[in-house]
Amino acid sequence: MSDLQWKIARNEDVVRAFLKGWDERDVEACMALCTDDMCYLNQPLAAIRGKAKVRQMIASIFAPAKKVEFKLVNVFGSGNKVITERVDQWDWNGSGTWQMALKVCGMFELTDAGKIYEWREYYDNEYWRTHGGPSLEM
Amino acid sequence: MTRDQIVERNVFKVRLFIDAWEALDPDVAMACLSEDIVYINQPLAPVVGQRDVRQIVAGIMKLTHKVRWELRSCFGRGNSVVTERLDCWDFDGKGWGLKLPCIGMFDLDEAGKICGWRDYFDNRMWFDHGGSTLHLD
Repeated sequence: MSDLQWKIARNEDVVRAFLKGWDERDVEACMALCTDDMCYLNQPLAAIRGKAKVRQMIASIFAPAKKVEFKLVNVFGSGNKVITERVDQWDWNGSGTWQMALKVCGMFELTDAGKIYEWREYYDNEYWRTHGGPSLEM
Repeated sequence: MTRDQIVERNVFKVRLFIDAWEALDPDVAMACLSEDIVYINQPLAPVVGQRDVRQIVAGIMKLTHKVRWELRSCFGRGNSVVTERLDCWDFDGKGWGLKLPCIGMFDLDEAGKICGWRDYFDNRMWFDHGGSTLHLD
Protein backbone atom coordinates (compact mmCIF):
# COMPACT_ATOMS: atom_id res chain seq x y z
CA MET A 1 0.00 0.00 0.00
CA SER A 2 1.43 3.38 -0.98
CA ASP A 3 1.73 6.23 1.49
CA LEU A 4 -1.19 8.01 -0.20
CA GLN A 5 -3.41 4.92 -0.08
CA TRP A 6 -2.55 4.50 3.58
CA LYS A 7 -3.50 8.13 4.28
CA ILE A 8 -6.80 7.82 2.41
CA ALA A 9 -7.72 4.68 4.40
CA ARG A 10 -6.73 6.41 7.64
CA ASN A 11 -8.77 9.49 6.71
CA GLU A 12 -11.82 7.31 6.03
CA ASP A 13 -11.35 5.73 9.48
CA VAL A 14 -11.15 9.18 11.11
CA VAL A 15 -14.36 10.31 9.40
CA ARG A 16 -16.16 7.08 10.38
CA ALA A 17 -15.05 7.65 13.98
CA PHE A 18 -16.27 11.26 13.83
CA LEU A 19 -19.70 10.11 12.62
CA LYS A 20 -19.74 7.38 15.30
CA GLY A 21 -19.32 10.26 17.76
CA TRP A 22 -22.63 11.61 16.47
CA ASP A 23 -24.36 8.25 16.99
CA GLU A 24 -23.11 8.36 20.58
CA ARG A 25 -23.80 12.09 20.95
CA ASP A 26 -20.27 12.48 22.33
CA VAL A 27 -19.10 16.02 21.53
CA GLU A 28 -15.61 15.51 22.93
CA ALA A 29 -15.04 12.34 20.88
CA CYS A 30 -15.96 14.34 17.77
CA MET A 31 -13.89 17.39 18.63
CA ALA A 32 -10.79 15.30 19.38
CA LEU A 33 -10.70 14.45 15.65
CA CYS A 34 -10.77 18.10 14.50
CA THR A 35 -8.17 20.86 14.21
CA ASP A 36 -8.36 24.00 16.35
CA ASP A 37 -9.19 26.09 13.28
CA MET A 38 -11.79 23.65 11.98
CA CYS A 39 -14.57 25.01 9.74
CA TYR A 40 -18.09 23.54 9.75
CA LEU A 41 -20.27 24.61 6.87
CA ASN A 42 -23.94 23.71 6.51
CA GLN A 43 -24.52 24.87 2.93
CA PRO A 44 -25.73 27.54 2.25
CA LEU A 45 -25.66 28.84 5.84
CA ALA A 46 -22.77 30.84 7.28
CA ALA A 47 -19.57 28.96 8.11
CA ILE A 48 -18.82 28.19 11.76
CA ARG A 49 -15.11 28.58 12.43
CA GLY A 50 -12.89 27.45 15.27
CA LYS A 51 -13.13 24.52 17.65
CA ALA A 52 -14.93 26.42 20.43
CA LYS A 53 -17.79 27.56 18.19
CA VAL A 54 -18.08 24.22 16.39
CA ARG A 55 -18.21 22.44 19.76
CA GLN A 56 -20.98 24.81 20.87
CA MET A 57 -22.97 24.19 17.70
CA ILE A 58 -22.63 20.40 17.81
CA ALA A 59 -23.55 20.33 21.50
CA SER A 60 -26.64 22.42 20.78
CA ILE A 61 -27.72 19.94 18.09
CA PHE A 62 -27.16 16.97 20.41
CA ALA A 63 -29.03 18.61 23.32
CA PRO A 64 -32.62 17.95 22.14
CA ALA A 65 -31.81 14.55 20.54
CA LYS A 66 -32.87 11.33 22.25
CA LYS A 67 -31.31 8.97 19.73
CA VAL A 68 -29.23 9.36 16.56
CA GLU A 69 -28.10 6.89 13.95
CA PHE A 70 -26.23 7.89 10.80
CA LYS A 71 -26.73 5.32 8.05
CA LEU A 72 -23.73 5.37 5.69
CA VAL A 73 -24.66 4.96 2.03
CA ASN A 74 -21.18 5.77 0.67
CA VAL A 75 -17.85 6.62 2.30
CA PHE A 76 -14.72 7.02 0.19
CA GLY A 77 -11.71 9.25 0.01
CA SER A 78 -9.34 10.76 -2.52
CA GLY A 79 -6.29 12.85 -1.70
CA ASN A 80 -7.07 14.65 1.56
CA LYS A 81 -10.85 14.48 1.06
CA VAL A 82 -13.49 12.00 2.19
CA ILE A 83 -17.07 12.04 0.91
CA THR A 84 -19.89 10.63 3.00
CA GLU A 85 -23.36 10.03 1.58
CA ARG A 86 -25.72 9.37 4.47
CA VAL A 87 -29.21 9.09 5.87
CA ASP A 88 -29.08 10.82 9.28
CA GLN A 89 -31.84 9.42 11.49
CA TRP A 90 -32.99 11.45 14.49
CA ASP A 91 -35.37 10.71 17.32
CA TRP A 92 -36.14 14.04 19.01
CA ASN A 93 -39.04 13.00 21.24
CA GLY A 94 -37.88 9.67 22.64
CA SER A 95 -40.72 7.73 21.01
CA GLY A 96 -38.27 5.19 19.59
CA THR A 97 -39.13 6.12 16.01
CA TRP A 98 -37.15 8.32 13.63
CA GLN A 99 -38.94 11.63 13.16
CA MET A 100 -36.25 12.65 10.71
CA ALA A 101 -34.35 10.70 8.06
CA LEU A 102 -32.19 13.39 6.50
CA LYS A 103 -30.56 12.58 3.17
CA VAL A 104 -27.25 14.36 3.19
CA CYS A 105 -23.76 14.46 1.72
CA GLY A 106 -20.83 15.61 3.84
CA MET A 107 -17.43 16.43 2.35
CA PHE A 108 -14.52 16.29 4.79
CA GLU A 109 -11.01 17.63 4.35
CA LEU A 110 -8.20 16.38 6.58
CA THR A 111 -4.71 17.55 7.39
CA ASP A 112 -1.61 15.45 6.74
CA ALA A 113 -1.80 14.41 10.38
CA GLY A 114 -5.34 13.07 9.88
CA LYS A 115 -7.39 15.77 11.63
CA ILE A 116 -10.59 17.16 10.15
CA TYR A 117 -10.17 20.86 9.27
CA GLU A 118 -13.19 21.39 7.05
CA TRP A 119 -16.62 19.79 6.92
CA ARG A 120 -19.15 20.87 4.29
CA GLU A 121 -22.68 19.49 4.53
CA TYR A 122 -25.19 19.53 1.65
CA TYR A 123 -28.88 18.82 2.29
CA ASP A 124 -32.27 20.47 2.22
CA ASN A 125 -32.51 22.95 5.11
CA GLU A 126 -36.29 23.13 4.98
CA TYR A 127 -36.49 19.37 5.52
CA TRP A 128 -34.19 19.76 8.54
CA ARG A 129 -36.28 22.60 10.02
CA THR A 130 -39.64 20.95 9.46
CA HIS A 131 -38.60 17.59 10.93
CA GLY A 132 -37.52 18.77 14.35
CA GLY A 133 -33.99 19.99 13.62
CA PRO A 134 -32.73 22.78 15.93
CA SER A 135 -31.19 26.04 14.68
CA LEU A 136 -27.89 25.65 12.84
CA GLU A 137 -26.94 29.31 13.15
CA MET A 138 -24.80 30.80 15.92
CA MET B 1 -10.44 -3.19 -17.19
CA THR B 2 -8.70 -2.72 -13.85
CA ARG B 3 -10.57 -1.10 -10.97
CA ASP B 4 -8.62 2.12 -11.55
CA GLN B 5 -9.54 2.11 -15.24
CA ILE B 6 -13.23 1.67 -14.41
CA VAL B 7 -13.11 4.62 -11.99
CA GLU B 8 -11.29 6.70 -14.61
CA ARG B 9 -13.91 5.82 -17.24
CA ASN B 10 -16.72 6.69 -14.83
CA VAL B 11 -15.19 10.04 -13.86
CA PHE B 12 -14.74 10.84 -17.56
CA LYS B 13 -18.43 10.06 -18.22
CA VAL B 14 -19.58 12.30 -15.36
CA ARG B 15 -17.40 15.15 -16.66
CA LEU B 16 -18.90 14.63 -20.11
CA PHE B 17 -22.36 14.88 -18.56
CA ILE B 18 -21.41 18.16 -16.86
CA ASP B 19 -20.03 19.49 -20.17
CA ALA B 20 -23.39 18.67 -21.76
CA TRP B 21 -25.14 20.76 -19.10
CA GLU B 22 -22.83 23.69 -19.80
CA ALA B 23 -23.53 23.29 -23.53
CA LEU B 24 -27.28 23.11 -22.70
CA ASP B 25 -27.47 20.01 -24.88
CA PRO B 26 -30.14 17.57 -23.64
CA ASP B 27 -29.28 14.93 -26.25
CA VAL B 28 -25.64 14.63 -25.20
CA ALA B 29 -26.65 14.75 -21.53
CA MET B 30 -29.26 12.02 -21.93
CA ALA B 31 -26.82 9.84 -23.90
CA CYS B 32 -24.70 9.66 -20.71
CA LEU B 33 -27.63 8.15 -18.80
CA SER B 34 -28.91 4.57 -18.81
CA GLU B 35 -32.44 3.61 -19.85
CA ASP B 36 -33.36 2.94 -16.21
CA ILE B 37 -31.74 6.10 -14.82
CA VAL B 38 -32.94 7.13 -11.33
CA TYR B 39 -32.58 10.89 -10.74
CA ILE B 40 -33.24 12.22 -7.26
CA ASN B 41 -33.11 15.81 -6.08
CA GLN B 42 -33.09 15.04 -2.37
CA PRO B 43 -35.53 14.98 -0.65
CA LEU B 44 -37.92 15.12 -3.62
CA ALA B 45 -39.41 12.02 -5.24
CA PRO B 46 -37.20 10.05 -7.67
CA VAL B 47 -37.64 10.62 -11.40
CA VAL B 48 -37.12 7.31 -13.20
CA GLY B 49 -36.33 6.39 -16.80
CA GLN B 50 -35.05 8.23 -19.89
CA ARG B 51 -38.39 9.75 -20.88
CA ASP B 52 -39.24 11.35 -17.54
CA VAL B 53 -35.68 12.44 -16.74
CA ARG B 54 -35.39 14.00 -20.20
CA GLN B 55 -38.51 16.01 -19.50
CA ILE B 56 -36.95 17.47 -16.34
CA VAL B 57 -33.46 17.96 -17.81
CA ALA B 58 -34.67 19.49 -21.09
CA GLY B 59 -37.18 21.58 -19.13
CA ILE B 60 -34.48 23.11 -16.94
CA MET B 61 -32.16 23.67 -19.91
CA LYS B 62 -34.91 25.39 -21.89
CA LEU B 63 -35.35 27.97 -19.13
CA THR B 64 -31.60 28.54 -18.78
CA HIS B 65 -29.68 31.24 -20.61
CA LYS B 66 -26.29 30.06 -19.42
CA VAL B 67 -24.95 27.61 -16.85
CA ARG B 68 -21.55 26.75 -15.44
CA TRP B 69 -20.90 23.95 -12.96
CA GLU B 70 -17.68 24.77 -11.13
CA LEU B 71 -16.17 21.53 -9.88
CA ARG B 72 -14.69 21.73 -6.43
CA SER B 73 -14.18 17.97 -6.09
CA CYS B 74 -14.62 15.08 -8.49
CA PHE B 75 -13.48 11.55 -7.68
CA GLY B 76 -14.71 8.00 -7.72
CA ARG B 77 -14.56 4.64 -6.02
CA GLY B 78 -16.07 1.40 -7.25
CA ASN B 79 -19.05 2.34 -9.40
CA SER B 80 -19.69 5.71 -7.70
CA VAL B 81 -18.45 9.19 -8.57
CA VAL B 82 -18.92 12.25 -6.38
CA THR B 83 -19.04 15.81 -7.66
CA GLU B 84 -18.89 18.73 -5.25
CA ARG B 85 -19.97 21.76 -7.22
CA LEU B 86 -20.95 25.39 -7.31
CA ASP B 87 -23.67 25.46 -9.97
CA CYS B 88 -23.85 28.96 -11.47
CA TRP B 89 -27.11 29.71 -13.26
CA ASP B 90 -28.10 32.60 -15.48
CA PHE B 91 -31.83 32.24 -16.17
CA ASP B 92 -32.47 35.62 -17.75
CA GLY B 93 -29.26 36.78 -19.44
CA LYS B 94 -28.50 39.18 -16.61
CA GLY B 95 -25.65 37.26 -15.01
CA TRP B 96 -25.35 34.54 -12.37
CA GLY B 97 -28.59 34.93 -10.46
CA LEU B 98 -27.98 31.70 -8.58
CA LYS B 99 -24.77 30.15 -7.31
CA LEU B 100 -25.90 26.89 -5.77
CA PRO B 101 -23.57 24.81 -3.59
CA CYS B 102 -24.33 21.22 -4.44
CA ILE B 103 -23.10 17.65 -4.22
CA GLY B 104 -24.06 15.16 -6.89
CA MET B 105 -23.47 11.46 -6.31
CA PHE B 106 -23.47 9.32 -9.45
CA ASP B 107 -23.69 5.54 -9.83
CA LEU B 108 -22.55 3.99 -13.10
CA ASP B 109 -23.49 0.65 -14.58
CA GLU B 110 -21.19 -1.95 -16.13
CA ALA B 111 -21.48 -0.33 -19.54
CA GLY B 112 -20.27 2.97 -18.09
CA LYS B 113 -23.62 4.76 -18.23
CA ILE B 114 -24.94 6.83 -15.35
CA CYS B 115 -27.79 4.85 -13.77
CA GLY B 116 -28.12 6.78 -10.48
CA TRP B 117 -27.88 10.52 -9.95
CA ARG B 118 -28.58 12.01 -6.53
CA ASP B 119 -28.17 15.76 -6.06
CA TYR B 120 -28.00 17.29 -2.58
CA PHE B 121 -28.60 21.03 -2.13
CA ASP B 122 -30.84 23.54 -0.44
CA ASN B 123 -34.12 23.38 -2.36
CA ARG B 124 -35.33 26.75 -1.08
CA MET B 125 -32.23 28.40 -2.51
CA TRP B 126 -32.93 26.81 -5.91
CA PHE B 127 -36.60 27.81 -6.06
CA ASP B 128 -36.12 31.30 -4.58
CA HIS B 129 -33.52 32.20 -7.18
CA GLY B 130 -35.38 31.23 -10.32
CA GLY B 131 -34.94 27.46 -10.42
CA SER B 132 -37.70 25.66 -12.26
CA THR B 133 -39.70 22.61 -11.24
CA LEU B 134 -37.78 19.46 -10.32
CA HIS B 135 -40.65 17.04 -10.41
CA LEU B 136 -43.20 15.92 -12.97
CA ASP B 137 -46.54 17.59 -12.44
